Amino acid sequence: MDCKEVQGFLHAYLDGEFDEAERVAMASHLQVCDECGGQLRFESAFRRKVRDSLAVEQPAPPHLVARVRGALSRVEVGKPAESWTIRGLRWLIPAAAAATLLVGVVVSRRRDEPPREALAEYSIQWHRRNLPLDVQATTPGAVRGFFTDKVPFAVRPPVFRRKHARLVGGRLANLREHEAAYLTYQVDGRRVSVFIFDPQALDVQQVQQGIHWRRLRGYNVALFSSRGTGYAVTTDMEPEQLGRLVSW
Amino acid sequence: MNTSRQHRTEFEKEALPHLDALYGMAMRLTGNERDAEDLVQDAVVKAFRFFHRFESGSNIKAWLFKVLVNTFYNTIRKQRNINRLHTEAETDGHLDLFLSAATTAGRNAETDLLDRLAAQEIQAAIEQLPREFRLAVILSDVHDFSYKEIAEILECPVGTVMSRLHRGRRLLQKRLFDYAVEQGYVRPTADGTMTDFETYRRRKEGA
Repeated sequence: MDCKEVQGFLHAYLDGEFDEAERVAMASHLQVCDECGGQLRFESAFRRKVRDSLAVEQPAPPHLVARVRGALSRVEVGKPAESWTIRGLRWLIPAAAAATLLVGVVVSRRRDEPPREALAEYSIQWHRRNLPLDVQATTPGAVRGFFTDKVPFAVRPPVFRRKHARLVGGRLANLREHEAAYLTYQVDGRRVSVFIFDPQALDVQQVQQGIHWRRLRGYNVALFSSRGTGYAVTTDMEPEQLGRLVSW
Repeated sequence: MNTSRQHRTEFEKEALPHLDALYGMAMRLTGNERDAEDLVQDAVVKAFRFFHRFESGSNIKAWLFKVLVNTFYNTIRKQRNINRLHTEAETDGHLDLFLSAATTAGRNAETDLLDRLAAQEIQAAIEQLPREFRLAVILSDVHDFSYKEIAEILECPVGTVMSRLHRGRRLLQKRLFDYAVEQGYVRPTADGTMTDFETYRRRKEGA
C-alpha cells in the first residue's frame, strides 16, 4: 500500500472494517512511514476523544418504558400495518390517543375544521388588542426563559431571517382554557404576532401538515406546527411577505 | 389473543433493552426531551408493527435504529418547507491544521491539543455538524455500528457512509481547531503555520 491508499482508508482501518490481510498490509506501511503513522496516531486519539465525549448519553427517562409499553399494548396485532395512519399524524398524536389511531385518522379527516378557524380568529383578536407585554426582551433565550415555568411546553421563539426583524417581547395567553405564549415582533416596521401553543392540548392536529393560510378581515394568519409545537403567525402584511417570513 | 401477547412479549424482550440507546439517538436527532420521547415511542410502535418482517438472528439494534432514523426523516421531510434545515455543508479547507501543528511543535502536539478540549466543546462541535455527517459519526463512534449497518440505517450505499464519516470527522477537526485558536490554546505564527501556544510563547520570548 502507498501513502495515498493508506490515508484514504485510515478511517476504515480504525473503524475495524479491514479484513486480516488488509490489516497486515496497512500495519506494515504504518510501521515504516512516519507521515502516515503520525496521522494514524492523531486520528485514533481523535476518535477516542469523540467517543469519550459522547459516551455520556442521557438514559431514557423511567416513565418512557411504561409509556412505550402502554402504546405497544394498544397496537392491534394481526392487522396489516397501515403506514399512512402512523405517518400521517405521528408527530402530534398524544400517547393516550394512540389506541384510537385508526379511528382518529378517519375522524380528523372527515371532521370539519373549526379548531383551525377558531385558532386563526383568536390569533387575530390577540394581534389587534395589542395588550401590554409580560416580558420585554429582544433575545429568544430571554423570552424562552420567561415562559419556562409558565407553559407546559417549550417556547422556541422563531427567528425571522430578515434584516429588520426584531423580537419585542411576549405575554402569557390563553387559547380556550389552555396556556399559550403570545410573542410580538417588529418586522420591516410592521407588527407581527406569534402564538405558540401545544397542538395536542388544542386538538388542532390538522395544523401539522404544511402551512395553513387564513385571510380574515385584512389580516393574514399562517398556521403550522414545527417540532411538536404549534404556531400561528398573524400580520397585516401581504400573504407573499408572510410566506417569506415563515420560511425561516 | 394469547399468541398476540406472546408476539408482543417477544418483541419487548428484544427491543426494550435498546431503549436507552434509542432515546440517546433521538435526543441527538430532535434536540429536546419531548420530541425525543415521541420519536422513540413512534419508532418502537412502528417497529412492532413491522416486527414480522424482521429476520430473527440479525441485529435488532441496527434495525430499530433504522426505523428510528426513518421515522425522524419522515417527520422532518414534512416540515422542511417550514423549518429549513440549517445544515449546509461546509467545504473542507484547513483540514490539516492539527497536523501542521505537529510538524513545527513535535509529534504529539496535536494530541496534546486534543487533551485540552473539554467534552462539552466536542459535543457542541458535533451538534453543529450537518445532520447527515453527524448521524454517521455518532452511529460509528458512539454505537459502534459497522459501515454496512450504518448504510442500512441511513439507507445509503457504503461508499456514502465512508465519505460522510470522512468529511464529518474532518469538519469536526477543523471546527475544533478553529475553536482552539479562538480560545488561545494555539496561535497562528507569522508564517501562517499553526503551533502550540507554549511553543509560540517561548519562541516570542527568545526573539
